[in-house]
Amino acid sequence: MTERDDDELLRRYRALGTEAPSASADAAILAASRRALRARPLPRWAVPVSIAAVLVLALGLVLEMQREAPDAGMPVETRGAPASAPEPVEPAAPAPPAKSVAPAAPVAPAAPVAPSAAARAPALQQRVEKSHAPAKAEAKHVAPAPRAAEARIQEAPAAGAAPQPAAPAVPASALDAASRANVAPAAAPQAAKRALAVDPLQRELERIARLREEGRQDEADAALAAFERAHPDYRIEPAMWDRVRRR
Amino acid sequence: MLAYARGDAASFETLYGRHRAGLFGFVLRSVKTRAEAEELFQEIWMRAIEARARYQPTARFSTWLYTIAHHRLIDHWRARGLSLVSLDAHDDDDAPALDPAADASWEPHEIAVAVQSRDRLARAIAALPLAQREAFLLHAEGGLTVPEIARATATNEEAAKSRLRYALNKLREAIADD
Repeated sequence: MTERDDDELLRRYRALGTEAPSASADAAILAASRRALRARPLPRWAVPVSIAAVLVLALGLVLEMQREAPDAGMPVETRGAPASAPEPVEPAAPAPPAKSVAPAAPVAPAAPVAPSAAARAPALQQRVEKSHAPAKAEAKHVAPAPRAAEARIQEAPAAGAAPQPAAPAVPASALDAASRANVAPAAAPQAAKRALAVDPLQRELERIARLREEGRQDEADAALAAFERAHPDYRIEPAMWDRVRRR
Repeated sequence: MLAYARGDAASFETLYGRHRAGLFGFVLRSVKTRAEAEELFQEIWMRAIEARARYQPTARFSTWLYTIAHHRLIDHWRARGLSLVSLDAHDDDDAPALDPAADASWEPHEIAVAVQSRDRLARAIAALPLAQREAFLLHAEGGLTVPEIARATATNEEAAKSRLRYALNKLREAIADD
């Protein structure tokens, strides 16, 4: 094999002609080469920084959830427990006369439940009110209708648990206020009595309510004005407000 | 290639223009159909584009490019049950055809002789064992030397030299009558 022979062979090989790829192949390759430059890979620091950012965010989220978990996960009844715990235990609602309520037996077991449930509602409401006192102060003198609607929401559990046979023992005024507030008749007097036992402000409101009932409107107006001046941030519960508001 | 890896698109176009015909000829005569050659040709360039960041100028660019082509062809042959060291003959009728008659300056008898010579050489190339044919095409199309052929085909220089020598001898014999 000589170099001259090789050269001759290569010359004849090249004389076979030069084949070229199609124009579409050329275009595809050149386009891919430009695309590759546009889609340059991420810098080396991008991946570790991204991972670190995700870890920091996840850790922050977990810590935040742990911090909020004790309050957020607790049911409403449990949160209200401390407020209702020190309340004095009231006797069961007065039993209706035997002749007026024949099926006394099915109702009796439910009687002890009503005071407890009804008592918790005002206490819970008061606790919430204290925490939102500035905001609620302005809403104190709103019209009775919205207050009644609010009461419906707050008193709903108590109303559901209250036995209907307790109705005859309820004073007429309390029954009227409770019915307008869509509250179970038994719940209102029980709550009012319990509130009187623990809250001097409630006693004062009860006194004003009695003045209204006795028709001594001027005295009631003066007492109510004095009460509002002395306790501008005290939110009167809807049932009581219906009894003491100016006529 | 280094310039292209740094983001210079024009440098790739220069490289492509320089090696496009040789690489396509290498691939076209290594497979049986033009369609296969087109597909493999594109894949080889795509691999080169993807591997641009790993390119090190320890050898000529053509050696690096034909190394990629060699690996892709091995995959292609393996997929068809062929081995690089296979001594099996190939189907002569499937060899890529060229057309000297397209050149209007040739006389009819010259065309007839050229076609006959072309066909003989083309058949002889197609009949070479894969490793010898590859060595010859790397030399003829890519302009690779024996050490570069050895490097591109991941073999030693002795083997590369031997393959090229056998290939040239067979082709020379095939056209000896012209």
